[in-house]
Amino acid sequence: MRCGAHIELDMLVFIAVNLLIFMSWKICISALRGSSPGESIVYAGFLTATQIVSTELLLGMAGTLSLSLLLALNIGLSGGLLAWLLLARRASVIAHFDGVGRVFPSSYKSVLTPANVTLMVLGIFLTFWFCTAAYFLPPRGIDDLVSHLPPIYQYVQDHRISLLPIKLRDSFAMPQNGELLFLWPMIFFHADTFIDLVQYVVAIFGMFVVFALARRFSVQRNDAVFIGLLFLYTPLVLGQAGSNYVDLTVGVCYLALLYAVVRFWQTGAMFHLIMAGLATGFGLGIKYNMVVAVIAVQPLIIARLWRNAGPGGAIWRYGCYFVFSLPLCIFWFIRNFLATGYPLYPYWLDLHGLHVVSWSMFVNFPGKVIPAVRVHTALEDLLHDPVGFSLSYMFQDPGLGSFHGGFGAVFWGLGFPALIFCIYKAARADVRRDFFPLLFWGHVPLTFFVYFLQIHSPRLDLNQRLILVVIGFGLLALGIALQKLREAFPKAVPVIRSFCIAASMLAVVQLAGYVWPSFQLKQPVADYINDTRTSEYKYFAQSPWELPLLRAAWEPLDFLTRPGSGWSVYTAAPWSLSWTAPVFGSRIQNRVWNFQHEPENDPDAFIFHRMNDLDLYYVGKRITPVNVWSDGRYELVTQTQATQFWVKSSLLREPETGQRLVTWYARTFGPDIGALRLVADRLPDYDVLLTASPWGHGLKYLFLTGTIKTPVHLVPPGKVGTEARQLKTGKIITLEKPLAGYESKLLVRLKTANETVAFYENRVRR
Amino acid sequence: MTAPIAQNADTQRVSRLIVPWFGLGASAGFLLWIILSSPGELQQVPVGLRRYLFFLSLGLAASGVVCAVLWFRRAWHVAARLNYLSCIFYFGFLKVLGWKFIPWALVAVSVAGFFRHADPSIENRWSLLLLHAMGSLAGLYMAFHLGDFLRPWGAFAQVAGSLWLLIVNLLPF
Repeated sequence: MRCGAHIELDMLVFIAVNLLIFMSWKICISALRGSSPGESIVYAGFLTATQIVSTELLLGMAGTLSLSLLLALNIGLSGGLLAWLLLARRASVIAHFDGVGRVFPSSYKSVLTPANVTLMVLGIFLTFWFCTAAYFLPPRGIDDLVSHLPPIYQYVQDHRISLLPIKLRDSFAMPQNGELLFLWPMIFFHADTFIDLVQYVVAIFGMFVVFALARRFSVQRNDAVFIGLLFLYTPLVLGQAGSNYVDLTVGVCYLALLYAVVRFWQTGAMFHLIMAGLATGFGLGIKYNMVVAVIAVQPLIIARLWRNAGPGGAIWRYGCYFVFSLPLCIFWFIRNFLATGYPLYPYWLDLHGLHVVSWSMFVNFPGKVIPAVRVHTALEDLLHDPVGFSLSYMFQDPGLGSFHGGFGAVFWGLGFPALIFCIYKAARADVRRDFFPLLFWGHVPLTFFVYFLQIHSPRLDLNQRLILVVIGFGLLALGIALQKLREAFPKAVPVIRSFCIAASMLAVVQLAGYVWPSFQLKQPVADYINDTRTSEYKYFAQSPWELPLLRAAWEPLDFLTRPGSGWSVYTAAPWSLSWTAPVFGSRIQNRVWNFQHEPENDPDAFIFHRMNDLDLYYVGKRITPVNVWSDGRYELVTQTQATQFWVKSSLLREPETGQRLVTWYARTFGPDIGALRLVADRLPDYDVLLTASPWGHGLKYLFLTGTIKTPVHLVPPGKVGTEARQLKTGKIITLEKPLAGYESKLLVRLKTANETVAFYENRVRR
Repeated sequence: MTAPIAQNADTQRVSRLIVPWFGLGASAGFLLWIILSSPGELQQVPVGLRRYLFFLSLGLAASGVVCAVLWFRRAWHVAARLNYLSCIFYFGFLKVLGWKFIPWALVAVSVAGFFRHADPSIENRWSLLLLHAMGSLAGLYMAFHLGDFLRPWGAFAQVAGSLWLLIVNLLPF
């Protein structure tokens, strides 16, 4: 394991490289365009992400994706840009810094209102919490483990962007600009340690975008800061910020696109149109639902082009916008078209709407007839009972308390009425032929309309994240409403601000109770302080789904392989549980044998998951648990009712691995080992102890530490007798019941609080 | 500037005290009822109503104090606004009970009352409506979700305690 000093040094270098990229763009935009601080931060942040993803894409396509090249390319680009600015545009840069020096102190003081300071202090606490959670806890959103992370782990190992088997998961073929952002810290630290912070950084960036948008709508600076800060404290944003879902990223990208389009509308400057083009491509390369945003901004772009540039100029400029949108998304569409015939796989878009063309379903469940249960779309339910649906939608706040949804009290209580107010005003303005407000605020009803049209009512709880962007609109409307109320009822503003602060604090409190994903730190910190940590996967125990059961295999695999170069691991599970990300290990040290094309060697280890007698689903070569057991070269390290973890015996004989295995048993089965010590001296020195019982783990520990002399073999359930016959040995100890066909007698009984375990000696009948 | 909502505030003082008193009291009772009842109890009308009557009396007692303060401070314009606010609470309450037309009638009365007391300025009138809608929706949202927000206090205390423990252990002294 790398020592703390190394990680700290790596961290400093990582922060320095990010700062270099960000500052090069920030200075460039500020110095060359004289942009406001908010605008330069929004564009610089966006261009930082764009540069990182573009370079990763470039190297990944060329098959040369490595840390050294990636760093060299990014440092070269940003260093070159800075050097050019300092050499060729020195006067502009100096003027920019002079301006910052003059303006910053006064503007800084004006935003430090008590309300903003309170939210900032809360933000410091929240940042510390998120950093600690990212450090101690594994990526734990279910889609993180199923589809978002396995591809990028594979890219880092293969040094190229490839396509994992889509017959296992269609979602492997989704565009992955968002995942490439997760790849950035992951390739740097060669670990998953800080990837959970990526969306938190995106959330902070989202604060700046909301702030900058509000400033463009003439919201006072301190109100703009206030609503920007509120973006972070929305329950859904808090939940998303600690996950590796990409909905927050795509939502913030939508807001950045809007900012660029608004600025283009206001100024007509080509620069903003180019930024809009980049944001369009970036967003389309994150998730397909960005299509709605892209369609929705077209009237704003086209109307502005038509008004000022005339047909010829408009076409040329629109062509520029289109060309700049291509580099960041076209790769994914071409790849999917070449691999599947559908650019938007697993979807197919035509004039009749969006259709699913799932190969995964077709290959894995051929002929399966899905019962034609008529489920209403949310739109049908809305039209059927507008009042009831709206009330339950607002006040149930679907998905609240998870990363799936929860727009929170500030949105539904304050932002929503403010949105209605702004939309009403926009409609009134439209009558006066001022189209901008309607084209801008029209995004909200359009977003809800498309969402309700596509989503079935029972799934509202799981999909609110798809329209996360409306939170930004709601907060922007709140900022505008605050401005209005400040004129009409100034005393109302402190009351509203107080409510927002209280709601933000309660949202932070509520975060501690989330299980989708969990942010609880009690057990990880206790383990850290007591020096009893094994693997971060241990903390899947505080996650929902089947993760607490499946971690029984992932945890020892990670703990045993973390110091070395990792193992090649074969994994099989029921299709619905084929979650491969944890197999790679927390330091991406292991290779998934099933994902390799024609692997030269046999796997080093096997993980089999079982659940409810479901059939195992095999990716690549079919190797069953019985094959592994009868192979004879593999040893069962741990097994539960849900999982088995086999490792090549020769690997376990390596001193360091053996020592770590002892440590893992000691830290995981401490109470069992304590109980077994009571009977250890009453177990004679026999040929072998065979058991399928969970007590076998503690007994293996006692054997490995020399407390008992009899070798302990963990065997699959129901295989004790067969294993005994295969071993052809004379004296065997078994647990719980004697071996049939042997002369047996009771050796000792171990009584614990929950059960009594009997040890039997078994001798071959003469 | 705060717009005067109720002109000639000294007239009709009793009605302007009593209406908000009942309105606020019933709303407070509704809030307590929502917070302290389980979802099943909300739907069972007889049980839910009995519980609501209990909380109504508590709410009336609390709002009596508030309105007495308002009365002594001669803050009629505040009191007058409270009844609009409370109508929205009643709307939600009656919708929970499954009533179809009465809640809407209540809203109509509320809106009519709002316009009757409204300031001559159109801008202020819309701003006031916005303010009322914000207050009502925010209050109603919190009434439905206060439990969601307050329940994880124990878990939050564990997180805060763990972070503190970490800081103490990481400090070099």
